[in-house]
Amino acid sequence: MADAIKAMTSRERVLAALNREPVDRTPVCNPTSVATVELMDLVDAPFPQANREPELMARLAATGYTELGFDTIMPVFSIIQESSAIGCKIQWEQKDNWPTVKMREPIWETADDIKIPADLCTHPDTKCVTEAIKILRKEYGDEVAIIGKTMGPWSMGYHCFGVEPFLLLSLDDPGKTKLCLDRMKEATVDFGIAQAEAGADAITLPDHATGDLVSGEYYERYLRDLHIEFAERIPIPIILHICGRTVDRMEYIAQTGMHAFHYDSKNKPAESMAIVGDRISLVGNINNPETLFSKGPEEVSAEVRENLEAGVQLVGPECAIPLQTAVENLKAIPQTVRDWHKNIA
Amino acid sequence: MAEIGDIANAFIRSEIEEFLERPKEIEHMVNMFAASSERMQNIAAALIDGDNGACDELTKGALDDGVTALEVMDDGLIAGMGIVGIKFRENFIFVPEVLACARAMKAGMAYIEPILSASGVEPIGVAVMGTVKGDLHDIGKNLCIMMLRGSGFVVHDLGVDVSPDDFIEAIEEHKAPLLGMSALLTTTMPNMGLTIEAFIDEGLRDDLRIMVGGAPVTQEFADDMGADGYGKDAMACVELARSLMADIRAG
Amino acid sequence: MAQTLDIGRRIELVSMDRHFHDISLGLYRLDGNDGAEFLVHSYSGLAGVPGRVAFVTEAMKTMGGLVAAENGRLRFPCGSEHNRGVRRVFLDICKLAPDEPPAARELNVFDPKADSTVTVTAYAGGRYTFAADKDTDKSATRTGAIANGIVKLAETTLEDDTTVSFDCGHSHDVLVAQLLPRAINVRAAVREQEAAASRGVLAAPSQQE
Repeated sequence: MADAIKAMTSRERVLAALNREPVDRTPVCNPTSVATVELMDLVDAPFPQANREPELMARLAATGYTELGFDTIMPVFSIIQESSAIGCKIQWEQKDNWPTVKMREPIWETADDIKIPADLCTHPDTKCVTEAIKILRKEYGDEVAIIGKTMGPWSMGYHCFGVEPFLLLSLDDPGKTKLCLDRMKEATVDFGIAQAEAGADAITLPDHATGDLVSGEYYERYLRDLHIEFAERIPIPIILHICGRTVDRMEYIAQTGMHAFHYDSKNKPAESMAIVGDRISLVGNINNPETLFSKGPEEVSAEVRENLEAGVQLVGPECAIPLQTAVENLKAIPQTVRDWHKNIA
Repeated sequence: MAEIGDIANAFIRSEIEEFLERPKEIEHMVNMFAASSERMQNIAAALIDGDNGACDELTKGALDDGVTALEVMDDGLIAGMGIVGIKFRENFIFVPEVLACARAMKAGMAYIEPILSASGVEPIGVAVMGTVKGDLHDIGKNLCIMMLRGSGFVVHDLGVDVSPDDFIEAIEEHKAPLLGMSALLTTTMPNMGLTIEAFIDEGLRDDLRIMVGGAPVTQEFADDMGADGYGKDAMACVELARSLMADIRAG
Repeated sequence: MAQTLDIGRRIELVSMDRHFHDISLGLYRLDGNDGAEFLVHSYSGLAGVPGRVAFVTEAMKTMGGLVAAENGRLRFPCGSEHNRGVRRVFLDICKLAPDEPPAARELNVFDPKADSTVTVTAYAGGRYTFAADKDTDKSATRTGAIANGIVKLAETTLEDDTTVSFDCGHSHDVLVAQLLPRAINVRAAVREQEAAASRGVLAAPSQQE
């Protein structure tokens, strides 16, 4: 029972939940960004600079813990750091928008074009991440869980080949597709290890084989075995992130040995827990555009409670939150978790 | 009312039997394919199968043998995309398969479009589509465009990161009555509202029908910003476009 | 130490104020002693932010008809929220350059689509009637559309084709005047009008769904 466990630090709580061990209360976890324009203003760390300068990155990321009350700090707000290091063209945008890869100007066409540069982890945009993690570790010690992020090869395929060419390749030539994934996976592993060595406690691994684009069978065919390999090679717990409807691939995901799956609001908490059982922790799944962005704390609380009642191990937003999300909506998440645990004690 | 046995092409018959469930859609498809020639059914089958080589060859062959471009487009390519759209909607196929079918359609349309342009045949509708300023995502938009073209619309694709001025310029240039905007990020959704306001300021809003879509967009948001319609996916986009074109024609 | 504040519920946001160093500006709603209150707030610590916030706050009074409440807050005299209206006023004001003095609008608007001017007359109890200066079919339709536009933008009730009223029963002349220019282009209002007009009309089979 939770109330028989002595009070844990945020870090202890998150690591226990990732291992499906007893916790004093459900941790509030942010495996993707909780940066907002108001938090940027609060600590004077706006985008795009906060994606490129370690001090700003660390300062903005820390607000998730110091201001919002989450049990995690995740400094990698976007999904473009290693793509930038690999050579993709990036549109850095401005304060109230995300930096994005220019996928309509892909840098690779064939498997032979794939080159992971030797300085992948020391390029300014990847080094920004490892330096930010070091700053946070030094600042917060073992108090809070620091989560890094390394992109999976499927997502890297979108960035480097372009979404449509990569998806067509997956249909036209599965063998070539697997070869491409195999070559790109080294970037995932290298950057993941670099963040572990910098002090990250866990790592989010977005690999967007989403139900909106590809079938569950695709996940099994192309990614499951790679994800098993990542779980073996990356020395810290992995939180897999795939957007969209994914119940049809959760069985395969649960087989990978990764610690957790960060799941989207298109999947119900109870149905998702029923599929994965005790093989993998779930993180999620508060709706971003319709709830966190558009509604208020009461609606946010309702979705938090639905996750808690289903036994989801770590509660948080379903994905990187909209940059205009209101602070009170985000604060409602840990507040609801605390209230819920008080009521069931 | 025709029967499925009246359809000569076995692949088309099996597609209808295996993947169509709504009675009205089954009736419509059976009647349509039964009324078309086996040659057109073969083109549709090649498209549904994502075989762009066969689609190319069969389309060219039909045109060379005197079949009209309009018949090849309507009874071959568009008919085939109709089945593809239903299969996609029902999650029997996913985006990679749709891309392959669209590629096949494009191969056939490469022969058809010049003929139709030269003959001045009016399309079902003309639309300008783009992803709004600050947003580089386009797969959703592109799927909508594929489905619209697959339904007989002419679509001018402005790509991504499109400013309000660029949308206005394109609408004026192409004299398009229909505008479609996509956004995948909540950060860029407001640019839809800004674009609509820009059309209002230019005095162009009244003659235009504006539809919006994208993962974070909702009906409520679309209504709030003054769009004429919201499409939750590519098939809904096509239905919406048809209904907005009917609205325009009704004056 | 936490620096985010418990200042109610944010109902509107300008994420990058183009007129002041791209700061974010929020409009927050709180419960006051006499009803809904509003607070303009920015988390930015840049020099001059209080001045920008003060400018927007004062302009909300001039252009929205709000009055001062305690602690820098604002309220409508009636105590009601008028959520849509107050958000629209806030957004309009944030578009003003600092050297552009805020000014209340008149209760009339030129409608280019009918080539006529629509004047709004205020009556007691928060009622407003709309009338065009031309007597044509087009202007009659457009006047109704503009009234419907105010229904949508100000959350008023439509009493008849050209009369709206605030449920709070209080006057909001300044607010209505501010919303008028936008009301001439509210397409949803037009669609609602058309839907209302077609109710009870037998449609030919080819026009039926």
